[in-house]
Amino acid sequence: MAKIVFAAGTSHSPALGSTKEDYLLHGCRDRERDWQLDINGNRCTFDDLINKTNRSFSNKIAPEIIEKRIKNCKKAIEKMRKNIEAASLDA
Amino acid sequence: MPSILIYGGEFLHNVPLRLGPEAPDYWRKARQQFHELKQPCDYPVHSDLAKRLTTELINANFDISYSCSMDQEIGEGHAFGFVHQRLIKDLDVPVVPVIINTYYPPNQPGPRRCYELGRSISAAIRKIDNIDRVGIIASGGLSHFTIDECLDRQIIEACKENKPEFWTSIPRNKLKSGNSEIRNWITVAGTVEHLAYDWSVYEPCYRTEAGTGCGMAFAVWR
Repeated sequence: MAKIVFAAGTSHSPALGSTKEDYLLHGCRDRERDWQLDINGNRCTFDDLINKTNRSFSNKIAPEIIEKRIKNCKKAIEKMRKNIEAASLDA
Repeated sequence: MPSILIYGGEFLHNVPLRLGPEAPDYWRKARQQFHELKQPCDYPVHSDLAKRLTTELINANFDISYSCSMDQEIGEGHAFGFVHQRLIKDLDVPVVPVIINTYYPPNQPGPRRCYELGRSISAAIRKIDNIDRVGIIASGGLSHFTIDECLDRQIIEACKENKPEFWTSIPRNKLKSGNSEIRNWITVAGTVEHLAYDWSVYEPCYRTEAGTGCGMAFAVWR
């Protein structure tokens, strides 16, 4: 009898393929997009998003923060890859 | 676009990256992770399992679309390319692609339907006797392109303590655009009621002053 013995969830963002040097360039696509969605799913502009937000994100995009986050994501992907391999799956 | 589709062809085809000359270098490098480097590649599909799973889900009152052909020029989408290239590249494991229309209105399945689909996939797998060990992966999410840390952290908490009432009641207005891929996580959450949560990593990867980026998340149950 078959059984699900392993399950996982993983992000698959293109940015996961980027170096820390390239990471912020993905923000260009966000700025160029015709519309954004706020966290409640309402359409708005990029400037609207800045105005709606009651917090500053500038400290969240500091190079050392980005480097740490990318490193952690890569470690998680590698750990998941090893977990899958160890699961000896038939399908 | 079918609401839920299972692919039962013999192979999933992947191709080298094709972008126009205007594509910036960073974008080309980022998208390479979904594609073959030089030559197209066919990854094995467990066609028999795909057919059996479809039949069992139809019997469980899910109207599943089924296909055995795919566009050979475009190849598998990035959700599957990521899994093949980054997670199972060197493993000879046949897959069964389950494609949920998370994104395109008007026929995306709701959260409750996704969770029930997961439960039914798990039950269907237990009725199949010619294989033993099956894994399932939700590819995508969490919130993007506007990061919703509150939602993402609720999802990670729900992974830890599997909470059907949470998964089935995520508001649909929170499941638009890139966030829509959270439907794949809801589906997998429905399959893991018999498994133990193992680990997770969450990194809110902001990239602009407006709070856009992607809530990167990884979770495993065993």
